[in-house]
Amino acid sequence: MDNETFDQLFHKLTDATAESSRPDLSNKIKGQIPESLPHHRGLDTINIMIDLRISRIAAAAAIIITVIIFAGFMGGRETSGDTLFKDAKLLIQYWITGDKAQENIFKDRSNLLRRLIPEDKKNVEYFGDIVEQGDSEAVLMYWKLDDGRYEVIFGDLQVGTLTADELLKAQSKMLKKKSN
Amino acid sequence: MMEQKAISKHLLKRQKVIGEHVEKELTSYESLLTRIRNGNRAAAAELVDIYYMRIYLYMRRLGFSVAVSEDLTQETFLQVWEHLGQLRNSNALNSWIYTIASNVLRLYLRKHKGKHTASFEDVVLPGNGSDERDLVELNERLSRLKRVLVELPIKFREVVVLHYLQGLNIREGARVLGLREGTFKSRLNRGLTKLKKELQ
Repeated sequence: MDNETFDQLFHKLTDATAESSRPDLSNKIKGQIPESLPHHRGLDTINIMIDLRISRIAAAAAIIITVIIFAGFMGGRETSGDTLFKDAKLLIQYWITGDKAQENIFKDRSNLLRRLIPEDKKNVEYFGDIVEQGDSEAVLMYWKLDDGRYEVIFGDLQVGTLTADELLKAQSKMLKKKSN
Repeated sequence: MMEQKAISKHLLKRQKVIGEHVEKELTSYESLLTRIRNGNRAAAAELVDIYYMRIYLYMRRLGFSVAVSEDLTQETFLQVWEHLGQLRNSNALNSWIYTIASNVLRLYLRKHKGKHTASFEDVVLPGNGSDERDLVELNERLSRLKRVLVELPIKFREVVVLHYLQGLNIREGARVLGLREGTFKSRLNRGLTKLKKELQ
């Protein structure tokens, strides 16, 4: 059988197999169109890894580890600098707000955030075990600044600078709330 | 060897014709995609109208039953809505949707490994006034071709169906399956050779 004949046969087979689907298939599919169609959201690497059937957390963890390794060993960025910390914080904020995050996921992620705090910020006090996700008044972690004040990350992952008194009040409030 | 060369030459010729057709078609999709990206559900419904039969027939021509083909088509569109944000280039719309369909069917096959049996019905072309005996003979040949096609291993079946029955050119087909163009062509060649061998 020559190729032209084969081509013609396929052409006829295309016509012969062009059957109709059940009439309601199109309507069923249209009925499944979501109310809000997704826009381009960025974070393509994460999405690609999700397409490869890797879980979102595993994908993101792989990316963070890769960033840290490259920043640390290839000299591209300084791991102890603020930039990496800020990027990681933004990414973690995205996860928490973008996902229906569970409490334990929050703890894992805030713990990860703690480990990403630059080395030069010594003596980080961390309360991830008792802080509830999204609690804007609870102190998740803090460290002392050179001017005597404290850099604080709250339960909603917002960052603030408090004096020693303010920090003490915030902690008392948090502990009181917890004991209730 | 001569036969392989003849097939390659033949494929190149087909590719050019399909390519010109696809180019024209895709330019009209840009505005549709822009509207969908702006959250226009009516535009999304238009996309369904354009593609649902293609995807359904793709599944059917690969040998899935009516019910399974419908399920896979629905699942394909669910994935389309889910991943719509990732599509940047409207020119890639055709191959992007087919890629999703192809992934959906691969997941289905993985899930039903060993349990899936190809669905086959005889081909019946309606008579158009030509010789009844010719028509019967043609229908028999088509039925045989279809039977042999759905029995090909999936990696050959996919390339043959995408190129010959769904009308994708080599570049698009290769993009759909995540292959190099050369690999796609080589699979097509091998698929056709197998078909010819079985049909002789």
